[in-house]
Amino acid sequence: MEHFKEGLAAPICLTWELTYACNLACVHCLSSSGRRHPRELTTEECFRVVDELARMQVFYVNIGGGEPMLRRDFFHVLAYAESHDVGVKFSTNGTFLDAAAAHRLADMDYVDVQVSIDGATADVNDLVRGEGSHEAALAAMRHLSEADFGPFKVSIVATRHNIDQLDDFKALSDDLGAQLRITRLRPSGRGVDSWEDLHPTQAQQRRLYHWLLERPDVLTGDSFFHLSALGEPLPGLNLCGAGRVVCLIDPVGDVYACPFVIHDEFRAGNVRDEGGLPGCGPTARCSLRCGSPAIPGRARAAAATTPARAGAWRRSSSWASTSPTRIRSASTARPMRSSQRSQWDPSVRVPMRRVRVDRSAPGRRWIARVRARLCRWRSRDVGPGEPSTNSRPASRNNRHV
Amino acid sequence: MDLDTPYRLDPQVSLRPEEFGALAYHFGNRKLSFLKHPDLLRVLEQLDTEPSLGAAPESAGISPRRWSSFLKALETLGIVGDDSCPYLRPWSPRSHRLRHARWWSTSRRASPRRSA
Repeated sequence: MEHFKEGLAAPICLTWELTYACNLACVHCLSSSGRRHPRELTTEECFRVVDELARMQVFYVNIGGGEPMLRRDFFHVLAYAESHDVGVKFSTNGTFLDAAAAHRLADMDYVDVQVSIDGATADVNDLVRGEGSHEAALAAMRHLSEADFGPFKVSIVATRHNIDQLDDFKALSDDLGAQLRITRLRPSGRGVDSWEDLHPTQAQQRRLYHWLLERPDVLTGDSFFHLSALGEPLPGLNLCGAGRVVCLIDPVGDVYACPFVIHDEFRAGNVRDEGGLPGCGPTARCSLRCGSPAIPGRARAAAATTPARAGAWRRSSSWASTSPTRIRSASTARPMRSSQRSQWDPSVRVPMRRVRVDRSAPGRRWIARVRARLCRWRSRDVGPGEPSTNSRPASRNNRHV
Repeated sequence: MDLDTPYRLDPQVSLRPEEFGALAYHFGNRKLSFLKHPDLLRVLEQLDTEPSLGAAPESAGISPRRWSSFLKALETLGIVGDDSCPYLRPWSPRSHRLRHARWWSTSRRASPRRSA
């Protein structure tokens, strides 16, 4: 565990969002996906990223998106990674996972699949993920088990509405010969907007903690380490791995320290830059404020983490010439910029700035559609959950919508 | 484990040198292990040319006082994970030929994910 605090030669667990294109528009999407970015990495560039991963000996890469299977070269990238000894674990909503694709995947050695679903019943699932998504995901899971893929994963995000269905999820995945994986809802991307409605209540989190303790075979990706403060620690690292164990490559090649926060503040560089992926470590200007109460759950989780140091991959050549303190703790962080300060202090005036046009931003009509769904979601009858107790987070992570 | 027979790293195991030692990843069962000393990595790298498992620490230049702890670590590595996915396998020219023949022709079938 001490080794992780010091930083490693390369990330262990690297998330690669292949595309922002998605046929769904889940209200909690971390990457605010929907539309393809016009400048997303070409097939050649993807191959080069895989080459670099192989050179850095990153054993496997978690491919996500968006919906990665929407990329036409998806299977090419998969085959290329496999032939270069980079294992792939990818995450899909299952819409495009038909019988043929399932057989193709089953023929690959180092590929693992997880199918996302957010409700054991269609009504709970479809409110978050869109109509028809429950059926599509179940069909994909059936294809996988019929193709004799082996133990794939069923991935759910714990929300206020599905947390009472945990036993149903377990039964579902056991039936299909799959592994259940539960992760935390994060107030990031579109999750900022839906956080208020979706985040589990404190009582539910306590129940979840005990449920998880009783079932060590349920995978969590270490995402409930904040609950370890309730007593006996949950199995896992119990450590914030941003920039130390994990990192993220987004569809245009930007590298971020944390796989869950695609935000300029945590941007370390771009794989298209001269140094490529290994060069992204030393240029990271991450000021991760571990104790920031603006991110719910983090304040308490900070007790389980120490301020991160050494956010750079040690093997990279220019490492020695840069300052070792890349990720700063709250106490050593620079004072907030006025634009940040203005979020909680109305007396601070933000100077006018020319706004950079973000071409990756989805179109207006598309935004209107998602907003409308959010409105419908908010105005519906409150489900089985209890009313919210936490305050709403600042929306500084909300880049796209 | 037999100290007199040669052992080799499983071809599905990948080693990555780190400051604290090394990371070992088994592509068969997707398990990550930590080798907590750089010398252990040297011993493992040496294994490929060793006539027996017991001789590996000596030829890697480890002082005799520490041999026992290294052999213990190697022994643990041999049984890490389930039995279908050990890190080290006993080696003989015949087993080598057999395994590689199998590896090339039906590597897919040999994957433990399918048998699980």
